[in-house]
Amino acid sequence: MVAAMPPEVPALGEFEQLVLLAVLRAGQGDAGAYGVTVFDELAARSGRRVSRGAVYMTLDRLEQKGLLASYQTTPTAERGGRARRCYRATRPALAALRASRRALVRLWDGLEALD
Amino acid sequence: MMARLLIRLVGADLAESILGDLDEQRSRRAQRSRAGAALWFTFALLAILLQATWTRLREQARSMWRGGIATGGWLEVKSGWRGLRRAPGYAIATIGVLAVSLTLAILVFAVVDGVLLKPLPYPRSHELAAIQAGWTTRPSVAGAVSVTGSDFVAWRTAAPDVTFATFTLGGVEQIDEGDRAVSVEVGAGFLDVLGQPPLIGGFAPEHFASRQPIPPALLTHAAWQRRFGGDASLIGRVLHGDSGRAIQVVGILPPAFLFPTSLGRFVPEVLTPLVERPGAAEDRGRGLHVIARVPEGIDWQGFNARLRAATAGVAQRFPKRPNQPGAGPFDLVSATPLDTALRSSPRLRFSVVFSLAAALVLLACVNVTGLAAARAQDRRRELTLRRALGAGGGDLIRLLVIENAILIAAGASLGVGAAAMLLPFVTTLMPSDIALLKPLAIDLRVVAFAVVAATICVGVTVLWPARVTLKGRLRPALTDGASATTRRGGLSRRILVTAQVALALAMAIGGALLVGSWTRVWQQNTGYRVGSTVHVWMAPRSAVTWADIEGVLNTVRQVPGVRAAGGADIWLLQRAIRGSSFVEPAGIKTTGDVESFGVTTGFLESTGLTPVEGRWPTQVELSTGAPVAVVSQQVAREFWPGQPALGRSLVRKGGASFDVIGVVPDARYLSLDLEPDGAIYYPLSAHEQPSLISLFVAFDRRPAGALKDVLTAINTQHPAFRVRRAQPLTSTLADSIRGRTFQALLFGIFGMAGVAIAGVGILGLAAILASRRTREVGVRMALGARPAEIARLMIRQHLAGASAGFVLGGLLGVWLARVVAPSLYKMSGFDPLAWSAAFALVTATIALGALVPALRASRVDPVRALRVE
Repeated sequence: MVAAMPPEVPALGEFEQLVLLAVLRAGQGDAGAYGVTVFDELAARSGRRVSRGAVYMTLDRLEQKGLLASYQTTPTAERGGRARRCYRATRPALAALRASRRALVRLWDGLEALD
Repeated sequence: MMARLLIRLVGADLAESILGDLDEQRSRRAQRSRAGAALWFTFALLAILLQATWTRLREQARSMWRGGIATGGWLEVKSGWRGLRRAPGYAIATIGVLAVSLTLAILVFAVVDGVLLKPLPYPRSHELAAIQAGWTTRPSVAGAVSVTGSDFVAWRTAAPDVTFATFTLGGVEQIDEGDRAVSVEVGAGFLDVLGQPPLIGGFAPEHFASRQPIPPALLTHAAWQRRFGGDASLIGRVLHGDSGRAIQVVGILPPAFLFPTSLGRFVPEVLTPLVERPGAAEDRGRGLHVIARVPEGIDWQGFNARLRAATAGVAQRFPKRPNQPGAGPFDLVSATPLDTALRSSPRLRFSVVFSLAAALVLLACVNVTGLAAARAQDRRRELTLRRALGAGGGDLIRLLVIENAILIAAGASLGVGAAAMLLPFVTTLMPSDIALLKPLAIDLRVVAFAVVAATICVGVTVLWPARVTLKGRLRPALTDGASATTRRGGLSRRILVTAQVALALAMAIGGALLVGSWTRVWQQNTGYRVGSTVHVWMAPRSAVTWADIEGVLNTVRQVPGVRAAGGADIWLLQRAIRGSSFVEPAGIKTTGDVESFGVTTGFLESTGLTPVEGRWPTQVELSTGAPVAVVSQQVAREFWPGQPALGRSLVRKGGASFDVIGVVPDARYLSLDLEPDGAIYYPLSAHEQPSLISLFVAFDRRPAGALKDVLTAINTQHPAFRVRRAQPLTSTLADSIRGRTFQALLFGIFGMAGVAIAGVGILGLAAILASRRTREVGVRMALGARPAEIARLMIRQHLAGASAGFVLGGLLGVWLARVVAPSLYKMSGFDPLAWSAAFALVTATIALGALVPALRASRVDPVRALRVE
C-alpha cells in the first residue's frame, strides 16, 4: 500500500504573499477585496512603493494559479457602468501562506535579538 | 485607444475591472479637481499599461524558453530545418542577403570601433592636449603643421603649470635583418605626459642631454614580440643597420602604448630621444609636434589665451621679412583635447559610413522580412492547420523565430568569417591620416556587435510574418488554400518594395557620387610621367654635398634596366608647402603658393616634363649651378601677365639672379587632388646646402627586380643617405588620395551591395507572388490571355511600390548628396551623370528582379497550373 502524498503547497513569491495578505485584510472590510482596496492596504501597510499595475498583474496571476477566486458585483454608475471584480483567497492560498509563515518563524527562531 | 490596448494585453474581463476601479477613483478625485482627476486617470492607466506590457513580454519569453528552446527546442530546430530544405531558394537568398550585409556592417564596425569608439588608452586622457598652430591665411593646413623650437620654448615659458612634451615624425630604422621600422624622436618627459611608462627599462636623463653616438631606443611591445619573439636579452643589445647606423635597445613600451598622432597604419615601432638644442628658443626650423598635460583645475580658455600671447610674442621677435620664403610666424594656436585632435577628422566620415552600414543591415532586414512574410503567406494553410490542431500564437511565433534564427545564424556566421578574411585588405586601404586605437580584428566587441545586429534582424524579420500568420482566419485559409490574398497584403508588399527601392537608390546615389569623384581625381593630369617611374624618398643623414648627390645619381644610372635617374628637393605628394626661395616681381600678388625646386641632371628625362616654351637647362648648367631657371605656366602667367617669361630674371634670396630659359606645364607636387602650385625649377647644384629628397628613376621595363638592385646600390655605396620609401610613382599618387580611395571604395561597395540586395529581395518577392498566383495564371491563360499580358500583370503589381521607392530614395539621395558634397572633387552633389547612373542601375536591377519571375509565370502550362491546387 502506498502512503498518500500530502497535497503540494504552491510556492509563493514575496510580492505574491503581500498581495494575498492584503486580499485577506481588504476582504474583511465592507467593500470587499478588489483592486482599489487591495492596493490601498498594500500601500498603507507594506511600507514600500507599490505599482498599481503590478498589483493587478499579480492578482491575475494568483487567480490563474488557483490561489484566488473572483466574483463580480453589480455595475454602478460611479464605475462607468462596470462591475467590481472582488477576490477571495482559496484554501490552497491559505495553506501556502501558512507554510510561508511557518518557514519564516522557524528561520527566525533564536534570532529574536535581531528583531 | 489605451483601453483597447489594455484589453489586448490582459483580456477583456480584467481590463473592464481595472478600468472600473480607475473610474471609481477618478469620480472621487473629481470632487476635488476635475482636471487633476483626468490627469491622474491618464497617468495611472499608462503606468498599468507599461507594467502589463512588461509582464506579458516576460511571460512570453519565459514560455518560449521553457516550451521551445530549453525542452522541445531541438525538435523544432529540426522541423525548421526541414521546412527550409523544402524552400532552398528562399533559404539561399536570405542567407546570402544577410551574409553580404552583415559582412560589410561587421567590417565597418571593426573600423569604427578602432577609430572612434575605443577610449584613448592614457590615464586621465581628458587632461591631454595637442598644441596646434597655423596661419589664418592657410586654413586648409590648420592643425597639421609642425612647429619651431622657438614656438615650443615660448609656450612652455608662458604656461609653467602645464607639462609639455615634443616629438618629431619621420624616420626609418633597420632593427632586424632586412626589416625596417618607422621611428620617431621623442623629447624628455614624453612618456610621462602620456602616462605610459615603459614596460621594461627606459631612457635615462643623460640621453636627452646630448646626442649619443649610438642612439638609445625604445621598441614597441608589438615589435619586440613579432620581430624578436619577446626575447628579454634584447635590452642593451645594439642593432646594426646595413647602412652602418645602429641603435641600442634600452627598453620596451607597454602593450597598450599608443603613439598620439594620426599616423594611421604607419605606426612607429622605435622611439629615440629628441635632444633639445641649447639655442632652441631661437630655432626657427619647423619639425616639432607638441602635446601637453593640462592638470585638473586649469582653465583651458586661459591656457589658450596664454598660448596665443606667447605666439604673438614669437611673431614680434621673428617677423616675416620681405622676400622670406614660407608663410612666416604662426598667428593661430590652440590647445585641442587630444581625443578631438586624433578623431575629429574621421568622426564625420565614419559616422556617415556607419549610418550607411546600418542602412544596409536595415535594407537586408526589410528584404528578409519581405521574403519571410511572403513565405508565411504561402504557408498560411500549413500554419493555420497547426493552429486548428491546437498550436497557440506563441507556438507559431516560436516556429518562425527558430526558422529565421537558423537562417540568420548561418548568415551571421558567414558574415563574421568573410569579415575576418577581408579585414587585412581593409587595413591596407585605411587612410594614413586616421589613428587606429587598436589593431583591426574580429574581437569580442565586434562579435558582440554581430550578435546584436543578428538578434535585431531576428526580431524585425519575425514580427511581420508573425502578424500575417496570427491574423489569418481558420476557415478561409483552410478552404481557399494558399491562393488567398488580401488587400492589406498588397499594401504590406508595396511598403516593403518601396523601402527596399528607396534605400537601394539612396545608397547607389552616394556610391555613384563618390566613385565618380574619385575617377575624376585620377583623370587629373599630373604634369609628369607616371608609367614606369619609381619614386624613392630619400633622407640624407647629415649635410650632403653636390658631389654626394651626383654620386648617388651615377650609381643608380649604372644599375641595369634604369633608363634615367634624376632628383630634386621636392617633398613629393606630401601636401607639404615649403615656399619659394625666389622673390616675386615687384607689385605682383600671386593667387596661389609658389614653390621653388632644386633639380639635378636627369630630372627632365626621368619625369618626362616637356618645356612648352624655351628649353630645359643643359647637363653642364645643371651640374655647375648655372644661374638659369625654368618656370611653370602658372608662374609665367602670374609673374608676367600678358608678357613672355623667357629672358626674364628671377632674384633668389641672397641676391643671385637667374635667367628664365623655359616654361613647363603645371605639375601636381602637393597631392593628386590639390591644384598645382606655381613652380620654379633651378639647378640644385646652385643651392648653398643641396639636399636630395626625391629621386625619380625611370626604368626600361617593369621595375620590380631592378628596384631592389637600385636600393641595394644606394644602401651599400652611399651611407650618407637612407631610403625612407621606394615605390612606383603610381603608388605615391595613390597614397596621396588614400582617404578618397577608401571612401569611394566603401560607398561604392555599399551602393552595389544595396542594389544587389534590393534586387534579390524583389526577385524573391516576385517569385513567391508569382508562384502563389500560378492557379490564377492558369485560369487566365485557359481563357485566352497571352504570355505578354500575363508578364505585364505580374510586373504591374510592383509598379506602385517601386515608384514610391524612387521618390523616397531620391529625397534620401538629396540628403546624402549634401552630406558628401564637401568630399567631392570638382563635382556637385547633384551631378547628372552620377544620379542618372544610380537611377539606371537601380531601375535595371529592380526590373530584372520583377521580370524574371514574371516571364516564368507567363510560360506556365495552363493545364499544369490548374492542377497545382
